[in-house]
Formats: sequence, structure tokens, C-alpha cells
Amino acid sequence: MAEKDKAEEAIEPINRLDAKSIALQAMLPGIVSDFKVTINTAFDLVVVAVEPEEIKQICLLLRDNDETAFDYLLLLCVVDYEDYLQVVYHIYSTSLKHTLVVKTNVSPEEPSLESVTPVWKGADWYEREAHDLFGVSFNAHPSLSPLLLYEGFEGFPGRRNYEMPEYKEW
Amino acid sequence: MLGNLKGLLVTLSSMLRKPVTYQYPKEHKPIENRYMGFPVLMWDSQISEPYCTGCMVCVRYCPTQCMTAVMKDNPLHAEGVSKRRKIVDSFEINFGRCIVCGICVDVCNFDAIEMSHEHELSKYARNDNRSDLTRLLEMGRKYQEETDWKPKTNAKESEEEASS
Amino acid sequence: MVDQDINKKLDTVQMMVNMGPQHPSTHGVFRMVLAVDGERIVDVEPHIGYLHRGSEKLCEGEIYVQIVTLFDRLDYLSNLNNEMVFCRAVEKLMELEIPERAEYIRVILCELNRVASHLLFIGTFGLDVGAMTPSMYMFRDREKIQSMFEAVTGARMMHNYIRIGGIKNDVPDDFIHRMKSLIVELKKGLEEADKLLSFNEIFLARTKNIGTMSAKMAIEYGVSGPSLRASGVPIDIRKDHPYSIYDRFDFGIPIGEIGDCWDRYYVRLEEVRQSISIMEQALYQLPDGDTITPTRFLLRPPKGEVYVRGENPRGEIGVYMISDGTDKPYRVKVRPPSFCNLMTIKDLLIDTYVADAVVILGSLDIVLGEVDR
Repeated sequence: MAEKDKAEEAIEPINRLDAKSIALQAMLPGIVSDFKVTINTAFDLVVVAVEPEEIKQICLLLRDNDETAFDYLLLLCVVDYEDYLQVVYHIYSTSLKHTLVVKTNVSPEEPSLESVTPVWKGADWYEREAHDLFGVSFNAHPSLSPLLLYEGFEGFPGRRNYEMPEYKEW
Repeated sequence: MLGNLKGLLVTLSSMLRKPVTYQYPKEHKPIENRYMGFPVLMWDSQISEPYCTGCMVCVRYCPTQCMTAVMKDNPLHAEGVSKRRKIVDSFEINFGRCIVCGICVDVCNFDAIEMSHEHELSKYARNDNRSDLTRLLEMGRKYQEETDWKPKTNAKESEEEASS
Repeated sequence: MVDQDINKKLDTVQMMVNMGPQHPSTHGVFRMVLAVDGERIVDVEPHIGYLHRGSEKLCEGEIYVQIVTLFDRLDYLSNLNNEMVFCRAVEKLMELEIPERAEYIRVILCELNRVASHLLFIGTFGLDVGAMTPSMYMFRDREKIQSMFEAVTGARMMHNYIRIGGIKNDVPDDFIHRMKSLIVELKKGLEEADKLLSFNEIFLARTKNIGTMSAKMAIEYGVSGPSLRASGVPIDIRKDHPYSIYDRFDFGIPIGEIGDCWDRYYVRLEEVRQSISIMEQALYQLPDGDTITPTRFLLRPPKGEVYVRGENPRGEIGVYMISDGTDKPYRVKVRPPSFCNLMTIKDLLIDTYVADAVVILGSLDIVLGEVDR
């Protein structure tokens, strides 16, 4: 458990930002000043860590602001850090061509989050997948029926504490 | 209409072309030199023993865990004929699981395992496609004869993998 | 009285039609439940997951070198592109320098793979609209590419050729010679496809103005690759964020006008021409030298996370990888291009005819191995 925390901590030191990311890093605090956020970097991308309650408002703001104009969802991903689940959004601007990472932490017991499908329609299946594999439920999502797994599957196979069924060679 | 005619012209012109299909079971497509078939074990004909020492490096790095190997003391080493202190006792590859990735060849320190040109191995039962040491060496000798195979001399000297 | 009866609309009943998972035109195991009103589709419920193998979970249990074999099997029609994006992710995290020659060979093979994938698309798309001949011709040309791969990598599909730090081994001696004659043949084959299919009246009637995707919708859904460019959005990772050595080549990004099925087809056909041009330039520039930066077999990249993007034949692939400093990654997440492209199917299919459903699905060019992972 303790080792896993270290993996999370060590994300900050390497810094390989390009010009667009540096500009983005400089202007972001002004844009999201209304919210409680922390801005740091991960390798060559700017990372914004936000509170889970505010995720939808921040995403809407980032999409509609002309300076950021993040209109394209690259990837929605859940990472299981055992103490908490981290939902990671990689977003991209098709007009300004810059990328941003938005992160938010939810608790592993009954994790729930506001859905971002109203912001980017492309989040639909990603959220269903996250619900399948990690059990994160997204409020106000149109339908969270199983996508990759079959109906009535027990457990969340994406999580690290999921016990794989024993393999039988036939 | 013009588009249809153009298309017809193409098909007409290909009537004169030589057929490209290989009538498979009777006629085989020639195999490229680098073709990776199933992995087989090489035979050292100078000393007449396998190159394999049963060090289990390939077993550990196989992504699908399709191999098993057992090591034993080499009787020929005691006689002073061979330089290999240990030799493979038994070796089994489950070809039904093998994904032909070639990682076992990369990690082998003794040039003992090689991707052969063997690819037509079908069996009736799902778990039937297993090969033991004798068969692997037999396939290996066939491959050696076909391709004039030579060991890559001292290409890899990382002995620590073998001893660990 | 009589007139009224005639004008009165007939009562219709909605019917559920199950399409797939074993349907020849769904390109894999994809199932759609269509609610149809006569010939018209009212509602669609796509079902995926029949090919879910848990690749991302498997990645957590394998060492970095072994994961390359898993990436081969995601999008099984463009294996080399997949391998390359994963290797680039690890190289980026480790900040490895790749030898020039390896980069060139990677690009040549990736573009060749793109050509193979698009040729298969042209063939199967022809099959979807009812043209039998193109599929035969395209498979014949693709077979030549497969033989080329066999000669270079040793395998026809699951190559495991691109390694972390470079490529497995140098290309054979007659590589350049064979590539040149292959390119000539491919050009000839492509012209045949163009003449056979592109402006055929029946083909145009089946694909023009069918399944129109607006640029706004495409961006909202995160559609990428040729399907996005067909809607008139010129986004190509090779141009916008050049990776590897793509900034050294002169190539264009073909874009469509309205984003209908025909545009999506023709963009891909044009893309093959551009890929061939890239290959020619790369072959001309191909330098001598090493092909791999030696690394330990048991890699331990530094702690950190990295997101790498690449342009696959089907769209933009992304790999989000978190390393915790051990020999196995902590988490690997793939952005599968087909997954995002397939998400639009519901919006595209509503209010079209059942016969067009097959065409629209075919025009998105999905690979289920990648959708389900």
C-alpha cells in the first residue's frame, strides 16, 4: 500500500513542457480561479487536480472559455491507487492544439461522480466502461448498462484487488 | 454509366493476367528466410547433445507460459567431452499456447532455441499440441539442415542470467 | 369518405431486429439491436464486449517487453502502428534516443501497415455495398504487403518487431529493392480500386449523402482519423504534433467535404497515396547505422506518467502509462480510435434505412479487437 502512494507522489519531478503547455500553465490559474484546484505538471502535460464535486463545472468552463477551448475528449481513464480511485481526463483543443490533464480523486467505496457527457458526448462509453471495470457511478449519465462485461457480472475486474478466477487448462 | 464502364475495363484487362492464387494443400507459398514458425531446440552435432542447458530463462520470460524445462548434470561434461556443465533433461512446449513472439530466442544465452519454419501443426484435441524434448530436437535438426544454421558465436555473454 | 381512408396513415408497428454478433458485415463480433419502423431505423442499441480480453489489466502483470505482444493484438490490422505507440511511450518515459535508421524503418513499416489496413477497408467496404471484385483485388495487393512483412519481421500479422529502443533486427539486404517494386505494384493496384469503385454510379448511389457526420458532431464524440478528416477537420497527429521523424516528410492531409460515407471512403483512398509518398521519401533518405539502442531486457523506467499519441490507420491512438519504477507498469490505458468512432453509430443510424446501416458501419472502419480490448 505504502509503495503505491510513492508512485503517485513521484509524478511531479520530471518536467518537459513544450511552449503551448507553458502558456497554458501560465493562463490556467486565472481561468479556474473560482474553484479549488492545484496545478502541476506530469512529464510534458499540465495537470489540474480538482475536487470531485466541481468536475462538471470545471469541464464546462474549460470547454466554453475561448482561451482554453477544450472541445475534444481524448481519454477518460480510472486509475486505482487502492486508497482512492483517480479519474483522469485527457482533453484537447482542436483549434488551439493544446492538451490538458484533469484529475479528480474519489473514494473506492461507492465512488460517484458527475457525468461529463453533457460536456463531451464522447465520454459516454468511457464512463460506462469505467462503471463496468471500476464501479465508478456517474450521476446523470443516460444509461450505465454494462458495456464490456455481461449483465450480472460480479466484482470490478479493473481494480487491483480483484481476484482473478483460477485458470484451468483444457 | 461512364464509371461502370471504367470498372468493366479494369476487370476485362485482368482476364489476361496470370493467376496469383496458390492452391494451398497441394501447392505451398514459399517461406521467407526470416519466417518465424514455432520455436524448436537446436542440436550441437559436434558434441551430439542439445545446446540447451535448461536454464529456464525462456520459461520465465515467455508471455504465455507455454514452456517447461528441467535441468540435469551433464554426463558428457564429467567425461570431459562437453563444456556444458548442465544439460536439459526435459523440455516441453505447448504449441497451442505459443504466440510465436520470438522473445524466447531473444533471451536465450546459448543459441539453444530458434524460431523454425514449422507452422503446419494441427491436432484434433485442444490440448494435444505439445512437443517434448525429442520431438523439439528432431524439428530443430530439420530446421538446421534446411537453413544451414550457425550459432551466433559469443553474441550474448550475459552469464548472470543463466546463473541467477 | 373514401378519400379520407386512403389519406389516413397506416398504423405501423415497431419491430426489433437483432443484427450480429455473427453477421458478416459487422466486421467482427459487434451486435446492434435495431428498432425499425418498416425500413426506417428508429432506435439503435449497440452492444460490444464480445471480444473483451482485458488487455489493459493483463498489461499490469507483464513486463514491458512482453506488453508489446499484447499491443499487437489490439488492432490486429495495424499491428506495427500499435507496437510503435507503446514503444514510444516507454521510450518517452525513459528518454531513450532511437537510432536514425530504426526511426526510418519504423516509419516505412508503419506506413506500409497503414496501406495494408486501408486496402482491406476498401475491399470490405466494397463488399458491404455489394461490390465483390474490389475485395478480391485488394486482398491480392494486401497479400504482397503481408509477404513483405514476412520477409522483414518474420511474421505476417503479429510481428513483435518494433522493440523498446529501436527495432528487432535490421531489414534484409534486398529490402529497398523489394520495397521499390512493391510500391510500383501498390500504385497500380490502387488505381484499379479507384477506377473500379470510386466513381461507379451504383457505388455513388449507395454512399453519397448517407450517414453524414458534421464536423461539430465528430469533434463532440471524439472521432479521429480518416472519419474525422472526412468531415472536413484537418487534424492529423503526424502533422499537428509530429512524432518520430514525420516532420521530415512532405505529405498532405486529405479532407472530405460533408462527412458522408463516400467521403470517408475517398479520404482513405487518398491517404494511401500520401502514405506511399511518405514511404518513397523515407526509402530515399534511409541512412545507415545501428537499429537499436541497447537496453536491459528487464526494463525499469523511472516513476512517472506519460501520455503518448500516434496516428493509426483508424484514428488517433493514445497510450496513458503510469510507471511506479518496477519492471511492470502500474497502469496502462489505451485510447482506442475505433472505440470512439463506433460511439457515433447511434446518432448516425437513426433515421436511415436498414440497408444503409451496413454501409455506415462499414465506412467507420472498426476493428473489434480494439473496441473491446
